[in-house]
Amino acid sequence: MHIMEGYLDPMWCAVWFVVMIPFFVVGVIKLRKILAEHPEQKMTVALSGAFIFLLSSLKLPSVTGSSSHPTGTGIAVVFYGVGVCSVLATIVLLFQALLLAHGGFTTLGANCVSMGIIGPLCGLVLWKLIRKANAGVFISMFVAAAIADLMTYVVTAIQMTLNVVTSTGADFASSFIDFMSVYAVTQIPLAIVEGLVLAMFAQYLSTAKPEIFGIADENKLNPFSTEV
Amino acid sequence: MDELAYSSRMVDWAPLGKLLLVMCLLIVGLITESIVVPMITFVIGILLMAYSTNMKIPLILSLAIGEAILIMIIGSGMISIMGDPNEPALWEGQILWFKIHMTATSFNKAWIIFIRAIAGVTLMLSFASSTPIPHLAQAFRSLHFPSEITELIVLIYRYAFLLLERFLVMIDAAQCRLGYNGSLTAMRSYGGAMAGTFIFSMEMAEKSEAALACRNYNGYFPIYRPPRKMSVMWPIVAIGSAVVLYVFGLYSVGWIDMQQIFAPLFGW
Repeated sequence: MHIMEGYLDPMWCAVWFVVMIPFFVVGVIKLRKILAEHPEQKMTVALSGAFIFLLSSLKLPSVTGSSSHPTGTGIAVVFYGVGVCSVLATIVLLFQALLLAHGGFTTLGANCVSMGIIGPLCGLVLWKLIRKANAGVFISMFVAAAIADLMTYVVTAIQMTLNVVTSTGADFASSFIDFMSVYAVTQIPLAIVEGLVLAMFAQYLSTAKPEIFGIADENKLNPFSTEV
Repeated sequence: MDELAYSSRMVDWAPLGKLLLVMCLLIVGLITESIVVPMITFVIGILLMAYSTNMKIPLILSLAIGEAILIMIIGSGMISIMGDPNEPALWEGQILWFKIHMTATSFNKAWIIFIRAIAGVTLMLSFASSTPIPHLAQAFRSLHFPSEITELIVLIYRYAFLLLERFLVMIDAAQCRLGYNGSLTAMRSYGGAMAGTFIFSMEMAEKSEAALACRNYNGYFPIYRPPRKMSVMWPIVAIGSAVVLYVFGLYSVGWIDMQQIFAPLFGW
């Protein structure tokens, strides 16, 4: 879903950077607190980032000026919240732009808003709701990861539609339908696979390290909460 | 990539200077409406990449570039067919559910976006192929970025490749067991490999934490030969070239009209 370098007009690049920055700053503050209070979490945070990098590098070209791939943000957002997820996503997006020509520097803000903020936030909301209904870890993680993935693509489609509408004067509704319908072909199966994979992993963790879900359930939904 | 970067002829250039130059060229290509400016930044990117790598680009990187270009072609094509419905169409029709309305504006816009994207790839890769990640982290540290972030940059980079290696081993193992015989089995194998990779990564995290602690790791990976600091020449060159290109861009709008070039070919 990474939008390529040069695709967005300067105005939209700036807008998405402005949206991203507060989440990123709060994420850095929260990350510093987590690492100061739980230094042993450093490796797990780094591995969550590496896992996002790995999954989101498995891309399929999509007929939209973008690509389809799993996002891998479900685990990071459930464990550490939206702020930290946005920091991890930014680092990963920077690497992908540099090393794989996937995404770009000027589109970093837009890509971070979709993959690191709004998509994971939707996943986290559903995780909280389903866990409150006493559902198991497997179902909760499946829904959270799949929705985080799907919402990432919805947001990307909106970003690309807004850009096309302002730059070529295209019709919003028909452009959005075009972008969404093309993404749906590859992304719905990918989201289900990603949901299943992360659910399998969460199931394993719930038996091997059950305490980690205690931390995840206490995580605040509010992205601007700096409480650990 | 690090191997390529350490052997680059540009490895001794200041990382922050290179980053500033790349950012300035990317931004100037984006803010000018002239297609000539992204063409120039593309040429600069190619020249820098050629100088940096001596044109010895590894196959895996070439494949990544090829895939990125494919996505760019498709993306630009998508923009070209989403023109303003009030403008006269060069090409109109419907394929499946896509309504096609290609106008002169959308066609030219698609071309400028394509050239910007290609220029972006060459510029970013010229930077990446000459800057090892520890140098980049060191550069961020010199800008007083939070130490946790610079540390995470290095750790994520290291773990990403370890995980990738492990993931490919699991994929190969699944293939040896006919794990891709049928779509459902393939999906299960793929899922199993991903879950297995993350489970392995948890074990690896514990081991590497202990290993780093044994080597007195306190959140900083020392560099034997630190990269050069940015001299005053870098901002002058970077901002100066951006200003020159921007001014040139103002005068060169409309020099190249892609719709006119392609008109005889498509009968527009």
